[in-house]
Amino acid sequence: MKKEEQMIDALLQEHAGKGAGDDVEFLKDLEQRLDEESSVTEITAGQKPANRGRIPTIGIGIAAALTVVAVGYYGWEQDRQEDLALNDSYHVESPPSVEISERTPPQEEIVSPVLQDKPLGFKGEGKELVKPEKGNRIPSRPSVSQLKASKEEADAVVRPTPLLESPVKRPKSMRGVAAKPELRTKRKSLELSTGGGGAESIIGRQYRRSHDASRPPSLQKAAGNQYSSPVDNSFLSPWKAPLSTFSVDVDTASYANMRRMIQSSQSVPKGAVRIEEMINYFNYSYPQPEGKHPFSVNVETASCPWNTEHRLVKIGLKGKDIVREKRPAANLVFLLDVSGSMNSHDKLPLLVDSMKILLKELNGDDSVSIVVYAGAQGLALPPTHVDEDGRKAILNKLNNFHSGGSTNGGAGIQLAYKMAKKHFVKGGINRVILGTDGDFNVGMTDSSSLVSMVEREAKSGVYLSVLGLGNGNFNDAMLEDITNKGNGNYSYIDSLREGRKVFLDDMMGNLVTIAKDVKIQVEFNPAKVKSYRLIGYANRILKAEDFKNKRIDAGEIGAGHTVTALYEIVPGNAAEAAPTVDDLKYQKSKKQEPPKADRDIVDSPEMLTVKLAYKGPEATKETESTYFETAAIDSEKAWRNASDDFKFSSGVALFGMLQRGSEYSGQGSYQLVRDLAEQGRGEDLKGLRTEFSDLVRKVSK
Amino acid sequence: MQALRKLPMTNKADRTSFAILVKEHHRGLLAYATALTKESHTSRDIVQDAFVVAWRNLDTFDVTRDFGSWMRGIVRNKWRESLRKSSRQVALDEETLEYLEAEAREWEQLRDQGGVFAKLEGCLKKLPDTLSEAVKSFYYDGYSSDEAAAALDLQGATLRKRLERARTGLRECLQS
Repeated sequence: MKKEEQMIDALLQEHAGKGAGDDVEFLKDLEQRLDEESSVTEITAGQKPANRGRIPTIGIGIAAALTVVAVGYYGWEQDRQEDLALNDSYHVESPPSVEISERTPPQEEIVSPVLQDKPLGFKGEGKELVKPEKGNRIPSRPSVSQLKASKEEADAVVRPTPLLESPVKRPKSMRGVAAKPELRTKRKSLELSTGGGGAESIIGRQYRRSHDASRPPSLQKAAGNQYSSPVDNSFLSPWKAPLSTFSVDVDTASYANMRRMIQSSQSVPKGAVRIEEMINYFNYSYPQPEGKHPFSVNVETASCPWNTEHRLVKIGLKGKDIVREKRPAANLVFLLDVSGSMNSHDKLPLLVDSMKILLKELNGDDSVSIVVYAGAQGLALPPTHVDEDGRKAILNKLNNFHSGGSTNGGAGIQLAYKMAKKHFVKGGINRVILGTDGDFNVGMTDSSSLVSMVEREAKSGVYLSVLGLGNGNFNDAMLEDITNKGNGNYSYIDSLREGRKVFLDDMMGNLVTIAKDVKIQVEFNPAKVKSYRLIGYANRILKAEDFKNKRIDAGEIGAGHTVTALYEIVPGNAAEAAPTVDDLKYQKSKKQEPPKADRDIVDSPEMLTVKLAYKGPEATKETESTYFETAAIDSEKAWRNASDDFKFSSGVALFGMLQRGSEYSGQGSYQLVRDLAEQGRGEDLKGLRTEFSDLVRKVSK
Repeated sequence: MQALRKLPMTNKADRTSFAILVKEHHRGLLAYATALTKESHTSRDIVQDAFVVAWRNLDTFDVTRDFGSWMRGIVRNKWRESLRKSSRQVALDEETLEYLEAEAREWEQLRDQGGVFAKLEGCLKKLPDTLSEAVKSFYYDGYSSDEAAAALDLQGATLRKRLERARTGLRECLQS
């Protein structure tokens, strides 16, 4: 739903529920809470003279259990600080302290005279009761004499707050229409997953707890939001920022998640669109690596389809294929979320079916264990070798899962890592595979503490795969965060076909990590490049110095994986000025670039150099990275003459930019995306590229 | 700007005047919270909590300011709190929040016309039949859009389009 419609939508819902009058139930409940409030503050204040006068009061006390009082008081003092500190519309001032010399604890309810005289209609005279002076404050506490006076006046005790005065009015036209709340709730929960278009994190930034100062801020994600919102990288001048550094990302979840939303005609929240994950969802036909490095680097340049003045550079990495038979033994620990929310057919049952596919690929050297987590976590299946008997035992277990209870993901993960370490296969595949809808709602719910735990465990050499499932309450940001920190990868399964792709194609690749902490650093030649922009990878950007820092964690590449990144480049000979780069704050010179005379550069035909840093799969934080580089010269060709992969990947990137509403999409349109996808389809054995074209057609309709 | 509400400042009457404010604002705030949470239960809890917070901190409320926007600030904070606790909800971007706030503010000014809900009832009557039956079925009978479409013998897309037009029409009517 568009943002313009959200309020009227809510208004209609609210009106449908209670008509135009008061919400009697609501007022009754509130009245009760305020009464409790009053008695709490009264008694607590009486016991804690230091706090006297700090509490706005109304002079009504009803005895309440002292324990409740004490707890309530401390609770609210904290809440109050928090609520007000965060209040964005008002500056909080400390309440004026009003000294009261002595006071009698009120024995009965006291009613103001005003109240007796004047009924409190909605537009009653209550409005004009007293004209306060500007800036006046409500005195915190009535004085003893005032209390007494009002007590005398209030012989007949009346409820102090007649909130429930006017009868409920139902809209005439809609009267007698019974609402069906269960249907309403269902519909709402569906809408929730899309949030009406702009589910960007605005809050997370404020509350983000930085638990790892060594990571660049862009890598730290907001806690508690469904989707975080990485911004689009902007154009940078090579004079100012000659190096562009980022971590590889072989995640694919964003595309699958987006596909689900588009196919079910939901709008896609911008924050859910991560262009690099879309591009990397597809496989590209890069050549196998030759020589000692475990992956090949392939650079292709052509004109930029959505801005033909610009150049587009595609950097593709291809991990060495490992023949499946030669795959080392696997120690897999499945950590399955069996909470109530996993009940629907597109979650646990789909996961189980996908696991059965994987099971067929495993053999007697491999072992599988299953840990479930819900209200209580538990070992559902101790490590079992996948021989004939073991296979039966595993299948039997898989066929007998029931979901129920709430989720304590944190405790489950701990147990899973414990299992994985206990049965660690040296030189083998040691991996925890977490299947969840991401609804961690009990226990270690805080994203950052969960993430730091995963991060700690990752050091033991056990890798993590996260499989996201289902829709509705899918916690995208948290799942991605966990895998970024946990040496892992993150996929989203929405169908058995996707399950097969993830488990067989990706996971068997994923299972054999051939390089980790893979970082890419591109150095641009200022003579050839006026400015450049990395498309996507916004939350994977590293600082230039991180490239050489072995302690900085980065993404992994699995056997057979391809990783693709695109740079949009304003060429050095472009007539247009470089797109504006943000002004520098601390440098006095207004000049964007050094004066001509200072431009002392190496004369080279090269446009850029791609440098890579990686570590072997078993390296630790202390292991030095291996470095190598490849230089590239601009091919000068037009995109129409570029490779299929070039066209297709740029089509996917443009699609993501359009979905994100990116300002950099130039003359790009859905029609252009379709052209690029059609022309770049190639063989498309698995039909994934055709499916992409269908998706674009649906969106552009 | 809407007429600023002045709180009656008699010592004994803050509960009374608070009650007046609660009565006046609770429905609007409930609608506002529903726009944030998309869920009526949560919004109810949030508004309840917000009123309690407001009550505790009545002494920090600047009476020259508008009670409605003060309350919406507290409601937003409560909502953010609930966002952090529950992954079921979706955050909204700043632009949308500003939009919601602006609209809520506008609606508050309908007080002189009997309040936004009364005006809404008038506007509902003015809707053309095709739109009003869509609204009735979807909002008031609580059908899902597909069920409502089936009940009215329409395509799902047609019904959603009608709902969209109805909402636009109602918004314009409320502004008039």
